[in-house]
Amino acid sequence: MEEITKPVEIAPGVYWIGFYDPEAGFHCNPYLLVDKDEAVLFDAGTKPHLSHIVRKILDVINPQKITYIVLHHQDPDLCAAVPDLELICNPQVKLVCAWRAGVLIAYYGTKSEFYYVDRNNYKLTLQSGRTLRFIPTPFCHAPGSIVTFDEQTGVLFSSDLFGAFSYDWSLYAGPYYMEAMKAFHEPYMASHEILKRNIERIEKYPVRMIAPQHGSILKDDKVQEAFEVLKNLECGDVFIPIPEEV
Amino acid sequence: MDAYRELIELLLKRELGILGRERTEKLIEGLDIKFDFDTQTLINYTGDGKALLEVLGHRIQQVGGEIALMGAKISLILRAWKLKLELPPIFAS
Repeated sequence: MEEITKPVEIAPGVYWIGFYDPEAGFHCNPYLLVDKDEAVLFDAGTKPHLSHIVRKILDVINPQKITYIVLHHQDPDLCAAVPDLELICNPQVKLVCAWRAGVLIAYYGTKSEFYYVDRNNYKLTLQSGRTLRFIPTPFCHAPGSIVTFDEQTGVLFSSDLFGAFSYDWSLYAGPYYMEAMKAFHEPYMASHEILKRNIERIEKYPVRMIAPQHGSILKDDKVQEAFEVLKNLECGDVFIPIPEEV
Repeated sequence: MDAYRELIELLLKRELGILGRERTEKLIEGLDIKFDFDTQTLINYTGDGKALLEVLGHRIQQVGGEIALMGAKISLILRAWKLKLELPPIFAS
């Protein structure tokens, strides 16, 4: 197993800064992207693990270099601790999200200015010229859900997509990961049609690695395999058991 | 083996992903189920398939709670519907 008590560099300048709880079946994966004198946090507002996340950020860089916090949707598992993170990041830090997510993220009591991707051509150019592309993935699972593609490394920060339920967690996906991934998507994504449409939009990009917010990181041939599994997965509301009398 | 073969195999494959190999091996301890963990194939079982599913469901709930159970439920419901089989209560609601 990887040494995971420290930040793990999963691609050049891209770090996993999460926390592993052996008793949990559901893990959150925050990431940090360092680009010269600037840094970007992804989905790092996991309140119960905040101290671990901050410590790992400090192991890599001065948090004042963090100029953007990307929030792929508005859920508490990635947003609840954003007001705490704002205190240690650059005073000019911006919260990057879709407008529809931003409306709700503000209710966590955030103070920073928003950078709405849907009002900025779905891209963000860093000081170095490096471009992050944002791909809308509406209703997978929230209306304002997005994912991020880093052109330089080919890493897709995929938020809930490609995530998994797993008590048998490892940083990189193991031989049984596809089943764990199905287990997460079946009750969580709105419908087969919506999921398929969003995966087809994502797979047009030259993705080399998938870094989901839950579950494990996918690389090599597992990237294409995961695209195929999710495009063909039957899921969503019609399969949720609801008693007839309700 | 009876008509529930496909459902038991599906459940064990799914729990390999969620619970991992070691915990899934323990799930079938004491039950007359032979499962090849390398090929993820159900080789054989004896007894009432529906009753075995019920026992497995309760063991899964005990080991992994609602997350582990929910992770298999939709697939089981869908497959059972296609096969026109009734699921035990733990998976049916």
